[in-house]
Amino acid sequence: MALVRTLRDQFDWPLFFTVTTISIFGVVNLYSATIQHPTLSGLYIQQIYKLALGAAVAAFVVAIDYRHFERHAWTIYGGGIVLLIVVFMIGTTIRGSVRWFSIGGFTLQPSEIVKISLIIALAKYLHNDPKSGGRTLKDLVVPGLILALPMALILLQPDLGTALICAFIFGSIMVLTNLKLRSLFTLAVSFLAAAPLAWEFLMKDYQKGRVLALLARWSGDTSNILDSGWHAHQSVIAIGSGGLFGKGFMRGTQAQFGFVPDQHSDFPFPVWAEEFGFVGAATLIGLYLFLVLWGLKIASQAKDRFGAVTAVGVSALIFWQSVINLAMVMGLLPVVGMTLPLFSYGGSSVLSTMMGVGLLMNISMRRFSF
Amino acid sequence: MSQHIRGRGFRARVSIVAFMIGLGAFFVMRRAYEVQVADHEKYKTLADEQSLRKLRIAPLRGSIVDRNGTELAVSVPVDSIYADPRYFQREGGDPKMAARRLAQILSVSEEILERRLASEKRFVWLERRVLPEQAKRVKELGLPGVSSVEEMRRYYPNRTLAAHILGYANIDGVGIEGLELTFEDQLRGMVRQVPAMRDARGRIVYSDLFVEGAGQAGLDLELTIDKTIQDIAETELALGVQTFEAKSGSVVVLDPQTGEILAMANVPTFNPNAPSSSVAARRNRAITDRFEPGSTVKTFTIAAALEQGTIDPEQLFDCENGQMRVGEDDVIRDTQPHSLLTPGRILAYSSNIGTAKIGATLGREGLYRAFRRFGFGSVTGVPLPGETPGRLTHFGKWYELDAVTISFGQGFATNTLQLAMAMGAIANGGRLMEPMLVRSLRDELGQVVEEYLPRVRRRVVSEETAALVSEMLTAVTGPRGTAEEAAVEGFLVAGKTGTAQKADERGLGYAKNRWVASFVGFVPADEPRLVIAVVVDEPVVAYYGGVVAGPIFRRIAEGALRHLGVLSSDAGSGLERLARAKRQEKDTTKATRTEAQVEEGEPPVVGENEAVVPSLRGLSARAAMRRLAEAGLTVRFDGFGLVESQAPSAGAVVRKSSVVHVKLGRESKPARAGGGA
Repeated sequence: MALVRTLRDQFDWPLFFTVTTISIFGVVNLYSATIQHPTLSGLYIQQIYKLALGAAVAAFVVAIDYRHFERHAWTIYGGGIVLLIVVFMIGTTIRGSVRWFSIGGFTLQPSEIVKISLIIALAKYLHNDPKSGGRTLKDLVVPGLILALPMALILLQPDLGTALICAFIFGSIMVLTNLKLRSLFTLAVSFLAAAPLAWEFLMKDYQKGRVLALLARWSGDTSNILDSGWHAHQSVIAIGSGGLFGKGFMRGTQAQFGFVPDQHSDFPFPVWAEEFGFVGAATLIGLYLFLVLWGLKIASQAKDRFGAVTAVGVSALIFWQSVINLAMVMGLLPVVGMTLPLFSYGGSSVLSTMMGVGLLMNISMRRFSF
Repeated sequence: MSQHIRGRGFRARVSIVAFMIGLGAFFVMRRAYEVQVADHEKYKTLADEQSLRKLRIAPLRGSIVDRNGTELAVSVPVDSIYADPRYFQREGGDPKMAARRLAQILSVSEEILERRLASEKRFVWLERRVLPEQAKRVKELGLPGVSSVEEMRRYYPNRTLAAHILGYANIDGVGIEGLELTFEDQLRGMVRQVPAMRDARGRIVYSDLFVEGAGQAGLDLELTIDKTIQDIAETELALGVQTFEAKSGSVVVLDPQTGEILAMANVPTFNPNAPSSSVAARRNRAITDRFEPGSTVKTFTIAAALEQGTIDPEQLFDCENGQMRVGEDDVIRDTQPHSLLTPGRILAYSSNIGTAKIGATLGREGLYRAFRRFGFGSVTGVPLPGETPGRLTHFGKWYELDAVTISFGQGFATNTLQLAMAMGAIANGGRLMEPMLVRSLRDELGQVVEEYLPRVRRRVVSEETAALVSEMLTAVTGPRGTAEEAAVEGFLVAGKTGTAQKADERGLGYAKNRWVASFVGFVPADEPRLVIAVVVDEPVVAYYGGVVAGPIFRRIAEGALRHLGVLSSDAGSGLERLARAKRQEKDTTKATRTEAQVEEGEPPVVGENEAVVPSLRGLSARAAMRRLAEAGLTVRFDGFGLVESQAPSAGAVVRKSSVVHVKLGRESKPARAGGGA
């Protein structure tokens, strides 16, 4: 009884409501985006199942004291790496990329799960190595290797978007955990120096095309809107034509008539913004902002270092994914494959986000217990 | 402890990071505001431009049916193939490959298809009006941005039948000629401008959200035309024009009691399903072409004089033995010299001099007004485009010769319909009717929206005068009239021939060998059901109105009367028919002919020598005529096709310029179901 009371009193309702609201909005939006589609019309039902499954997994994560995760962090990390290797052996190649494999009818994208295992591993490492005097570049070697292993495997698939998110999560965690300003500066410079190399060796032609399209659009050139810039162009039109209050549910011409591409995966936000206007868009952005800041609050109140770093990692995951996705669909960033957490359709993404949310809830609820 | 765990600056760093996250959210929010609120109009326009279409929902065009409900013009849905080349290219479509595959299905060439698919446009027709099978096969190709849309195609199931009356509608379903043009507004129905939505693939997306109703269908036109009579008229006219090697011809068949046009035929004709033929073929000559009518109008001169009482039916007119001086320099002639004739004989013999004298009793103004009353010089008001009023100049402008010749049909012009309407006034007891072509307009449900009723334009002559003139006209097709060929077995026919020299195109008097042969009459004469006007332009083989137009009249009348179920006044009287047949045979075997059988315009008789009748069997009409002309003989044809029999028979010695009756068979021509009564 005491435990139940404790759970009820300490349950993080703001976190729960924010996540639930975003998920519901996502399903509603998915319904509008796909119901007219000949093959995708049943997708919103699928998403409900996946959210339920995700919620169950989150509940499971909440039920286990997160210190068990700390204890088994390396096992979890190793499991993630194994999944990434297995995907090369039994994975399905979709559009030239080996990202998925099927287990009993479910399609799993290991790189999504690996984001969480990476966060746990980094938290474990920093938990045992507080370096309260400030972290130098030399102190980044080991965590850098922790990042590099899964990131390299993900790049091999190849999946640039997920790899970048891993890097951003790593960077965010390091910035928040005593990285020296001088080291930060050096890191930033080396990133800039590496960019041309990445351009040359890592990026595919279509990816370069999107970047160039973006640069062209920034400079006011609209000649490429029919090819590489087409998706972003249609997306921005959808958002812009929504106006202040939107065109109304299921009434977005850009969305309903297929001008906006990949409405269920990478471009659900334009559908939402077109049909519910700036009011709807700002509400959704506000929810994400709240979720991320709430995650940081949980981090700063966590009772141990592992909890704090994990919370920072999950917050960074949600922040970077949403900010990149939103900037992308609004034409501020080139088009990269990046889903909007909880809002986009996708089982693996829902699963990893829900695991993260479960961790946040876990850390939040156990901040007072010893 | 917690401070130790998290490090000193952790909270501070979190605050800074939180601030930066807020900043990031602010930028995203600001961008949303900029796009959605500040620049909203711009993006709304862009969205509307690519998805909103003002779609013309073309309603179903009304049908055109004949008086018995037979469809003459209908609209049927057909598929048209179009493409969105920009979408096609964006989806990685290869214009060359796609064109090759499409060219195997469509009837457009590969090169043209490739050019269309490679264009920068957002919409091109690949081919309009394709077969359902073609549309299906194109769909099966699954080419991106290539799709089909249903359009209405105007279809004329009877092909050339009534082509000039119907006219045609263009590829967009807009009436271009004929009734399709005149009744465009009624046939078209209500075109609805509907804001329609187009999806990213360029397909038109209909949605209940945006479309509140379809266009309102056009009205159906019920015509006065009888398809069967129209068919008979067209067939017979075509055969006649072919046999006499004429340039063109037209026929109008009326119900004299109502003014309803039962048929209106022209040669040459065209197929409105593919109206690409020459303008000449598309012209509705029955109303657009004017010609000098010649002797047919003697009917109206005499009717007017009788009506005005300026002459007496039994009065005798001196026909000056075939020549009469007019003014200082001009002479008018009759083809045969006559002395004293009654008005009835003047009509039967078609005396120009007699008619001129009767016309003179009316005075210039009287004649002018009489002709105007009969409808000459003004349009009949038939609801078809391009009608000519003919030409009847004001009597004040007449030269002395005009005043004389107009009475017998030279120096003014009319059209076939006018002539038929004027004859209709004699046939129906003196009322000039308004020509009717449309009986009613009906909506989709068959409800009559507008009904047209017969209307009398004016009374032209009294019933007594009309009856008197009708009786006179029956003599024309009698055994000794100018148009025996127009006689319909078992029926009394009233009518008048016309053989007019065409005016020289350079305006120098009359052309030597160009004629307009005509016959206008009605049947049965005692209770008229049909007025038939036949006009044949520039026949070569023969040119007498009775010879050329008479048989056409007769065969149309026979077919139409049979179709209408009009019983012969002496049907079943086999003996009488036999007697008449014998009488005709006797007539035709007569070697010499009296003046009555000779048409006006016939070349004068030269010499008194005799000639041997040549054998004509198996010859074409033209060859037969040439051979007879060489022998110094004239000819009368009966029927169409090749020579079947002749009278007198080959080898007979007759007087020169005698008439040889030639019966033509139909072996060389497409036969049309005939059948005797």
